[in-house]
Amino acid sequence: MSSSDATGQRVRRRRLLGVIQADGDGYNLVQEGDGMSLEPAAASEGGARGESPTASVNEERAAIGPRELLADREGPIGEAPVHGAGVFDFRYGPFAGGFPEAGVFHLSTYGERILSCRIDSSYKHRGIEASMAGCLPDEGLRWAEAVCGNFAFAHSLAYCRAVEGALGIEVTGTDRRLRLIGLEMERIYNHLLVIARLAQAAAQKVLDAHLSALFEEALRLNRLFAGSRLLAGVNRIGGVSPMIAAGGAWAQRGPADGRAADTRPPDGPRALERLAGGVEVLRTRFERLYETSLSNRNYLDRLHLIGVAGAERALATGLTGPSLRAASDPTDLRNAEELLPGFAPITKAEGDSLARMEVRAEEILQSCDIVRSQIASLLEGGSTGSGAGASDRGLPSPAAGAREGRSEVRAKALQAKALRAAEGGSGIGAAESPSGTIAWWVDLSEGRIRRAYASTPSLFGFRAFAEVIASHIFTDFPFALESFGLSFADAAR
Amino acid sequence: MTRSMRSESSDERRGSDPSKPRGKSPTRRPPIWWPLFGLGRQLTERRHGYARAGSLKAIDSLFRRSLFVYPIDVGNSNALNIELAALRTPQYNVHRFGIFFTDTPRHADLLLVLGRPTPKSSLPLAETIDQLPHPFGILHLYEPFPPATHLDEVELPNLVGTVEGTPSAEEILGFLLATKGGPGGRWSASADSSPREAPESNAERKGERK
Repeated sequence: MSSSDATGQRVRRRRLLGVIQADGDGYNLVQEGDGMSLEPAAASEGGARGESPTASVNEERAAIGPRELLADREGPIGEAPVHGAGVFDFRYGPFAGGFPEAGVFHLSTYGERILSCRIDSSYKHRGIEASMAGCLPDEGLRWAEAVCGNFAFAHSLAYCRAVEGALGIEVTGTDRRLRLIGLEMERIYNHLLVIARLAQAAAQKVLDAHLSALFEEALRLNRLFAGSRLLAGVNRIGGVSPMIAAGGAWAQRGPADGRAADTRPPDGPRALERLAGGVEVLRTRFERLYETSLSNRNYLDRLHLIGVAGAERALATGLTGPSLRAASDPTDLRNAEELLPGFAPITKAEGDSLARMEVRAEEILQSCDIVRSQIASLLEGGSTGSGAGASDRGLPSPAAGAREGRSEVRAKALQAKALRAAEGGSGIGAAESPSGTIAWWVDLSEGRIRRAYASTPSLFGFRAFAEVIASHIFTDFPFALESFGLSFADAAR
Repeated sequence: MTRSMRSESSDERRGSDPSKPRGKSPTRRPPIWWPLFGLGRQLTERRHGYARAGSLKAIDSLFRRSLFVYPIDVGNSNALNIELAALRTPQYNVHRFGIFFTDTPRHADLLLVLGRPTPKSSLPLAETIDQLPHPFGILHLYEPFPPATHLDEVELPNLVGTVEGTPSAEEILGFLLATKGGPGGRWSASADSSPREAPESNAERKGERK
């Protein structure tokens, strides 16, 4: 590792995020900096395993990551149980009241102190990757969204990018901006929920109530933007759904939204204006709440020095996202996004729950700013992304009869052409989900999915959590767990 | 006619600026003191989620005033958990209906099963059902996708309803109100509420009075 990251240089380690067995060969899914690649297993091993490396492989090429965990993702995650005087296995789960999802935490303890933790996420295993074999890419998109409901947008975005990479489909600048907006909207509501849960665990009921109200407001803004509170069904292969592009989601809000149905005709720019206004209000309210919470020692002391995952441990366990950025590592897939020219990832140094909470809080503010700036760019009618020139001039006007959506028509045409040509190919797509890197590798042949692999951040998060919870007492369990923002559905697929 | 005109003028008074987000409260002012206005009209009970409530039965007349719910996730994609978390926010304020969430099935009146059971969660689900005190009910919400085939393997006794889809928090509130015993509590006609028609929206109500 370039230990000179004290100077603030970006750490360019190669990180192992997946181990794929295909056609009898092993492949590694590796993240290097802000890009992903798939390479044969031999190229990225060597020094890390103690085997004699080939002449062309040196220490720096070895990809760091939890290799044993990735080789067997369905098995238990974490440390082996500890035995000793009075030590027993405290089985927390699968239907424990404290954590909303089904999963078991096997805690080795003699009473108050947790000596080791082993996590069983198999209760949520639905075999999604295996079920995708033989599907059309459009059908696979529904499977990708079904992996984890609160990361539905990030999963569908990574999957679409993988398929678009495999089939060579270009996405217009407008759709790319809309995708960025959706990604940040997902980040906002997930981070709000995580911080609300931390406040609830610390018995800060007033703060929890305010943050929960903001979380519900964020879900309503999602409905305003996409017609779906959890941003499902937004992405398509080649772009976004035409309804969103035309602002139709705004007009289709029904009375179930809690407000009187508006009778004004659908109007694309107006929907985005309202979204920008709503996000601005949310940002102001959250900023005030966050600054107030920082002066509350009762709350901060519960998070301080809990679950410390420093840079070394974060890299060894494959952590990504806010948990990694709280350990001084500025890795963020949005660094390489050309539609976000001034993007600077938010990092903290301590790597504890407090640092992770601070990173998430500041990312909420950053995401609100990104959403508003992207909406402003869309409303100005210019988009600087790559692609065709005149057709990228912002949103289609309602009068142009854009019900079908140019992007949708183009994507369909491209896909039909690709399928007719019985094209194959494989692609990797990645997206920065609220809790880290989601990477999909999709292998297409004759227009159908032959194989799909998803690298999800929660698997590594649970691995890191199982390590850092050792030597903590039971009371600190929720503060460490919730600060990582994990999901069993995401880990078990 | 009068009501819709009044609401439109109050819209103009507030200056319906599209760039400003809509306020949290309805834009029209009640003609009388708000708590009395609300109690009689039962706005929430009549408004939400009853489009699908026709297929939901009430558990028992015992639960008209209070319902303790134990949610259990047997394999959903976390979307239903998120919507349930959204239901426990101040905007919905479910405590005013006597709806509480418990951490244990032994204190529960309604078991809220979320998702299609995965093979491994069938046995713990059966164990949980054994722990429910009588009378109880089970409400099963499951997502349409991915299609799994484990629905038939688990027998859910006292099933008050199954709902396929990803309902929003407001719709879940409507289901819970239906299982409590109808919209009005003591004002409902009978415990096993006969299916109501879908409630009219505010816009429709305004249109009728025009």
